[in-house]
Amino acid sequence: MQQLTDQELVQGVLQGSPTHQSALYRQYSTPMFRVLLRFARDRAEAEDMLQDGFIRVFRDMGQFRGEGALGGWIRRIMVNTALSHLRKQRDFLRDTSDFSPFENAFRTDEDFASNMDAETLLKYLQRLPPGYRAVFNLYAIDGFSHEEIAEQLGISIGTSKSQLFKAREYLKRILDKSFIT
Amino acid sequence: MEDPQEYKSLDDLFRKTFEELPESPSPSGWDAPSPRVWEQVQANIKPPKSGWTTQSLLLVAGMAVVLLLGLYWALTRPVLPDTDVQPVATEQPAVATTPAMTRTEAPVEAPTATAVMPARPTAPAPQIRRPDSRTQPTSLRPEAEQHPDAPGARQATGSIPLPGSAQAPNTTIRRQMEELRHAPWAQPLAPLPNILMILREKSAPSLPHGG
Repeated sequence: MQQLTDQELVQGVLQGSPTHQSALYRQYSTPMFRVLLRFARDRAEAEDMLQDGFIRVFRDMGQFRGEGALGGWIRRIMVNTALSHLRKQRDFLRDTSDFSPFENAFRTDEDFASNMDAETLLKYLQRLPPGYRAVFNLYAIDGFSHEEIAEQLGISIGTSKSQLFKAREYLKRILDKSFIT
Repeated sequence: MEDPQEYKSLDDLFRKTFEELPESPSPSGWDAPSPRVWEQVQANIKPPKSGWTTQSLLLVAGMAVVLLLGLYWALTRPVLPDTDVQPVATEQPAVATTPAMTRTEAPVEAPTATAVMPARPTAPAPQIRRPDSRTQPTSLRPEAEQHPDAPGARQATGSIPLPGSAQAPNTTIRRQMEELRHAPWAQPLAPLPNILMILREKSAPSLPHGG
């Protein structure tokens, strides 16, 4: 099936066409799901985020001005949805001074035997505490500044930097350990 | 502050790994959402059901009831007549030319002259006219003028209703007229007994008949 352009998708969705809604979901569900998997602690939470995100996309499609790519607009909605989910968690930004990634049950022979592919890195990410994971994702992968992260998460810039430092330290230790292994 | 090189490498590793993934989902399926997600999204973005819903039916029914009640109230509401200003205005020429104007002060003089005026009840009501009846309140008019059923009044005012025309409904003014009609002060005074005649009759037997 020929892939529809962004303009065709937007027009069809605005007209309530189920065909265009389905096409838009098929086209963007996988890349957006990958983004959300990085913010979620597991697959189920990522699917909840994806569901809420696409509902917002279809609901707010009239606000898309066409000034940028549709994928970028949808991705911003997805990231905002993920952050909303994280903010609702009680243990978000909790004190994780006692957190030790090696004491968690994620380290299996299969994990470390595999190459550093996306799936493996994702597993490492998902074992981080929510605050560490969110700040690392936003800063290292999505390119946000500490000011933007502080505003998005409702934290101070110092907290953002601190969370990033701890996340990097844990990930570095995990990776060092895996390479050594 | 610049990030240390080791952290930059770490960031690059994660960024490149996740950004340079192929468009198609992985064969293992780790990056493909389950079909349940699309079903839930579809259920939430369904357009509202077309046609009449229960709420819209109730709304329309309620509006119809309100409309009917308003219509009923508007049709059964007592309509204010044009009052009797117009009939009064029509009698203006007759008032100006009537010769009975000399009796206008009669009701004022009646209480003082009752002893010598036994003939007041016999005075014909239609002849009672007032020169200022056009502007005088209805309540001050004589009974014969106010009563629409009084034949004398109709003849005097000339406002005889057309045959077959309905009478005015019982409006507020009409009720006020009825109340005023039955007010004690509006009733015609009963003629006082002729005291002179009574005294004469009483004194007559006691007088000695001189012969």
